[in-house]
Amino acid sequence: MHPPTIAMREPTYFVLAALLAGPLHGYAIIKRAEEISNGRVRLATGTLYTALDRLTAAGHVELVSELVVGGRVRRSYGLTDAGSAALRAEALRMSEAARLVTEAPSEPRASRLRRKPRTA
Amino acid sequence: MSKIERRSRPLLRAYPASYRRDRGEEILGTLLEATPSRRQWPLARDVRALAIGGLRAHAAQNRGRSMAVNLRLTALLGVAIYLGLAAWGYLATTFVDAQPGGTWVPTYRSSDWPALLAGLLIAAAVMLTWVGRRRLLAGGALAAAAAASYSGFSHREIAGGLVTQLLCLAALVALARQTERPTWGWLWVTSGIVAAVIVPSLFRAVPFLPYQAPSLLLCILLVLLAWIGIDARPAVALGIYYLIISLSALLGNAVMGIGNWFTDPAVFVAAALAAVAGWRLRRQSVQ
Repeated sequence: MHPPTIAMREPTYFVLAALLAGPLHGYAIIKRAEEISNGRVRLATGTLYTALDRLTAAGHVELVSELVVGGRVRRSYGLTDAGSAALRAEALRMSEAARLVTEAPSEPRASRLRRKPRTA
Repeated sequence: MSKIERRSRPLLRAYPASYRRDRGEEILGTLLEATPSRRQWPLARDVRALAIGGLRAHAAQNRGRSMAVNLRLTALLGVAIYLGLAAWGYLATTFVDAQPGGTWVPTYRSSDWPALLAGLLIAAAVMLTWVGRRRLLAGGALAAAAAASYSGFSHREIAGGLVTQLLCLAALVALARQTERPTWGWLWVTSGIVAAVIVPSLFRAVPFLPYQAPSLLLCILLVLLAWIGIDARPAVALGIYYLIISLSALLGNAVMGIGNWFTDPAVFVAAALAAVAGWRLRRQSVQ
């Protein structure tokens, strides 16, 4: 039995998943999230930083390094242990939810009921 | 600075100044990297996400303040919006001639100098709130109250409006503090809301701009609705503003001997809106 978890929004899930392989900076997170979601999740810059603020406040993400590239600050973010645990809990929740469908009998219930017309 | 950078940089204005100082360049760097190289303008979805992200960052500031401080600042904003519109009302009596059918014609009535003085002094008192020096504000508010009273007496109009304005000027002094002042951005919000009320009437006086007026109003309305949806403070401020104008109308009616508390539901509707917004503000404040 797993502790109940609150469903994560898809962009948040993919921001955390993008950081699984190691710390990344803002643009690299956007590219990685797009790559691992097969192009489905294309994070806008504003959405990314709102998610990073929320995840940092929750202790799921932390600032790892800060570089100056081309006169601009480039910060890299990494997953914390709590973030990694939250990501795995969410993945487990989704896989359990998916199993309800994938392991259900393939024959639709309605057609089973319609199979044999009752005769008097 | 490239064209795309020059056009993207103003989008950062959606964020609070302190946030911008800390992360503005980082966000801009990411935005420029994420924008396709041939583009001269930022993507529409980036514009939308930065606007919403900025509003969320503003709302996040609430969580660092107590409910009492947040409520005081929003009450200040509501009173400032009311007084801003009252100042415009005085200035309009000097500079605008209302025609039948709602059309305004620019004019100048030199005999209405008390109204002009009252309008300018009330506007100055509202702006002094942002400076945070209470003695200066008290002096400004006193001068504005004297000018408004003189204008009221000279027009023989001592109704609910004047009494409410005097009470609001007193509230401005009582609510203002040297520390925990409203940010300068809020002065723009107050000016924007006052402009949203004035602009449609001004556009009616300039008939060659029929399309810009609704577009501008729609833009102001959409930004305001998005802000209200994310941050409870403007909702509380608008609730307080409606409560003030409802009470002012009620007071005016009471002076003339018409209407009563139960025949005018506007006060209760305004109070209910302010209460719901206040409940949301409590959830956004430090517990």
